[in-house]
Amino acid sequence: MYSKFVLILFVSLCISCGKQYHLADIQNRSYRIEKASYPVDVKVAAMIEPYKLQLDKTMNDVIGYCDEELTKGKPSSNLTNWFADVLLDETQKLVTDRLDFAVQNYGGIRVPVLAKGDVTVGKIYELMPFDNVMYILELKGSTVKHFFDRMAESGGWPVSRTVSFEIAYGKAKNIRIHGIPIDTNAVYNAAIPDYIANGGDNMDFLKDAKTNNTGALIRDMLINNVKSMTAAGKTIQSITDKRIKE
Amino acid sequence: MDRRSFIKNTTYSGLLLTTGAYPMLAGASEPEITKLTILHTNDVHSRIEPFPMDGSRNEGLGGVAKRSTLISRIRQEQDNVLLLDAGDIFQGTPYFNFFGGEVEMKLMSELGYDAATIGNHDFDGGIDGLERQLINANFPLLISNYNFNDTILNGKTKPFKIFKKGGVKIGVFGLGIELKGLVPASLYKATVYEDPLIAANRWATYLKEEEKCDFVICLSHLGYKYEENKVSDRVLAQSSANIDLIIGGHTHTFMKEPERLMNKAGKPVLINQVGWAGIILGRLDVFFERNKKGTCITCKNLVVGT
Repeated sequence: MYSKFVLILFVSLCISCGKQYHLADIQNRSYRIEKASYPVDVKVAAMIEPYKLQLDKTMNDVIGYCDEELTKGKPSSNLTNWFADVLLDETQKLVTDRLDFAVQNYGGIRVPVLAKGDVTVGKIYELMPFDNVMYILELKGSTVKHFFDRMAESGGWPVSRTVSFEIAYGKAKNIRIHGIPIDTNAVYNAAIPDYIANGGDNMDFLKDAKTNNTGALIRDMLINNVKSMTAAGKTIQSITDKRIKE
Repeated sequence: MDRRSFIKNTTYSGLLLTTGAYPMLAGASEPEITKLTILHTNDVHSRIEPFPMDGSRNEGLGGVAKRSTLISRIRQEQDNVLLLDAGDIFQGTPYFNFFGGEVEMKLMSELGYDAATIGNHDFDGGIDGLERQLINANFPLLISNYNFNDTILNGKTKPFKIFKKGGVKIGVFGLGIELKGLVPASLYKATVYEDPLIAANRWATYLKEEEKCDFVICLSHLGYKYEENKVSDRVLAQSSANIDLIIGGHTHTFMKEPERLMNKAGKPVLINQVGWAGIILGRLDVFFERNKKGTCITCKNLVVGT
């Protein structure tokens, strides 16, 4: 009996030992999840619900009012002007040295419009979902010139009201800071988000600058600014000056 | 009879010969077909709910609760399912800003993900933030080219995992992108990035030759391809020797169909990536024929059909 079992085991081992799995075919069939494609899994929806309620409560919180639709555009626009001015004003509150200008990378503003009407926390999150923080960089005038040339090359970035220049043949011309022509030997204090300060968007040359990390989130600066405007009885205005001209 | 129903039928032992569809098989041992269904996502970026109905291009698309229904339906129809993710689970909606990845990890666990790799944005809450979320994940994070020895993640990820599905042995390993310049060092801390091509070669060879895996999958967050000279899934595929399938991410590429490239040994490698935000659930059905070494009746040399 025992030997018979061993024999069967031996035979079956022999059959399997010479075999292997060969890759015969691969077929592709992916699914697009459309609005009306599949019903929601009620268990999963129930798991999401408490988080969603908590989020909606915060996100739907009205913190201010926008007088006029702000639209993102190049070389400058009312949305990019407002954004960069807020960064300058809010960063200035954190330091005693006078700041010369603030910059935001164009791609970092994630939605094209801030609609007229109530401004909710959720809208600010849409504008700035990233947890970028503000740095203050000490930049030589020659580096600032290089920085603005790169902005000019890409058609213009959000800059604060303290800056003006013209784009001529992809370069920044007639650069003025605080209304005064740029001095390539002077040192300027610039409020720049960590992403760019660390060389993002091909701004590698900024990495060598002397840096102070304020630790303040860009998004919190926007939220705090809108809240303080509201507390002072003010609304968000459209600022249409052409600080960068083509 | 279309190809899919043909293969489905042949999984039932004996049917092939009695149908007479392939009379030349008479006398040969009948092929035993095993089907593996690979489902995959990448760069879901905290897209828990579908895109809001705001007139934008993606409005109403995606959503985890719908994806869950779809996956459950496929699991009811298929015996051997693997559900994988190629990284950037985190960042992109307030769910991440507010709950730090807890919702993402809990839902992926509920959906039954088998494994995921780590994307650059998975460090956005810091390496400590990622570590804190591991408690909510019942699936492993696979990464073979990040050295976490001097970090809080030491010993908490694995380079690879082996799955057995219907007798088929599948090796899955993970690769991550270079973090320097992409993620602030303050977030990834002492994580050391190691050459992905060396890691891939080492682990894929180990899985194929030492562990005798029948199929090797690389979960990659390297990106599909670049203009500049930078390592990508296409570079990886062509310099590899033992990878069968690369499930990619990072570049948010919506591939119409998987790309088939030849590896350095002249064998085919497939690359697939399904955009981002969970708009698409990728599905690849892989058919294996169990037969004597060197014989394969139904092998198609990896033609990708739909």
